[in-house]
Amino acid sequence: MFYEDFRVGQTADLGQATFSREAILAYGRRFDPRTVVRAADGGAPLAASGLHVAAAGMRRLVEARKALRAAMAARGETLPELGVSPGFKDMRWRRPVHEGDVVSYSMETVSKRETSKPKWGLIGNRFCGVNQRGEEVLEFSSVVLVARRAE
Amino acid sequence: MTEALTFEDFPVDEIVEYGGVAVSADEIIAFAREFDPQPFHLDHEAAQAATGGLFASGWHTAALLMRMNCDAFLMRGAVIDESGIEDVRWQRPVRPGDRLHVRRSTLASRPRDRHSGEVEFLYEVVNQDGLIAMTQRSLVVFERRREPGGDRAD
Repeated sequence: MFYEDFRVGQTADLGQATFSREAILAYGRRFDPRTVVRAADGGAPLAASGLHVAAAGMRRLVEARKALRAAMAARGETLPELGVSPGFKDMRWRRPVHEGDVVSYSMETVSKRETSKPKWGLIGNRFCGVNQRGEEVLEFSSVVLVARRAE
Repeated sequence: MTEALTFEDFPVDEIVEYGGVAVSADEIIAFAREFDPQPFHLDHEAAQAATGGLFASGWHTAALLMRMNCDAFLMRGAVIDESGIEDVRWQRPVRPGDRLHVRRSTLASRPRDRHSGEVEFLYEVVNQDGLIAMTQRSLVVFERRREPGGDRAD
C-alpha cells in the first residue's frame, strides 16, 4: 500500500503466532537468558521474552505486507518501495505469553504526516497483540516511512 | 552466589559501558529469516540496490542490547517489574562486521515505597566507530536493599 491508501482509524489484522516451548527457549538462549533460568527453576510457567512477542508480531506484519504486494503485483499495479521504521515507543507487555499461547496481532493507523521528502510519508501505528482468551498481551506505537504515489 | 543488585546500585547520573558483540552477515540473515524477512535484511544484492548494503533488523539490534544487559546486570538484578520499553530509536544501520557495545546512563532513580524503587535507564548501542546505532529508554523497578538487622522478616 502507498501512503495515500492508509486511512486513520483503519485496523489491519496481521495474523497469529503460536509460542511453542522450543521457540520460547530458543529466543531466550540467544537473547534473554532470564527466560531459560526461570524455566529451569521450575516454579513459574515458561514465559516468552517481551521482545520475542514483539519480534513475532513484526514477522506477521512482514508476511501480511508481502501478501498485499503479491495481490498488487497480480493486478499489474506498481509496487511501493519498502521504507524503514525509525523506532517505536510506549511498548507494554500487559500479560505474560506462556508456552502454547496463540497471539493475534493487529495494527491500527493512528496518524499520517507528509515529510520534507516528496517520496515518503510517515504513518503512525498502534500495534497490538491479543492472546487466545482475548486478553491484550502487547501494545506499542510506531512510525514507518511509506512511499507516496508518484504524481 | 553474588549479592543481587538492588535499587541503591543504580545512582542517578551514573554512566557505565559494557558488552561487546560482533554481528556477522550470517546472524543478520538468520534473525531476519525468522522475524523480519525484508529484502534489505536478507540479501546482499537487494540491500545494495535499496540501502547501500545488508543491515540488521532493528529488532535484532534491540535483542542484542537485551542480551548485553542481561549479561552485564539484569541477570543479577532484584527486578520486581519490567513491563515495557518507553522508546527505541534506530539511528544508524548495523552492518555485517560491526562490533556493538552499550553505554548505559541512569536518567532518574525514584523510590516507590520502603521496598522498591524505579530506575530510568538510557541505553545507547555504540558501534566500533563510536557512533550510536540505537537508543532505548526503559524503566525497571528494583527491590531496595534490606538494612542489616532491619525489620523485614520475609
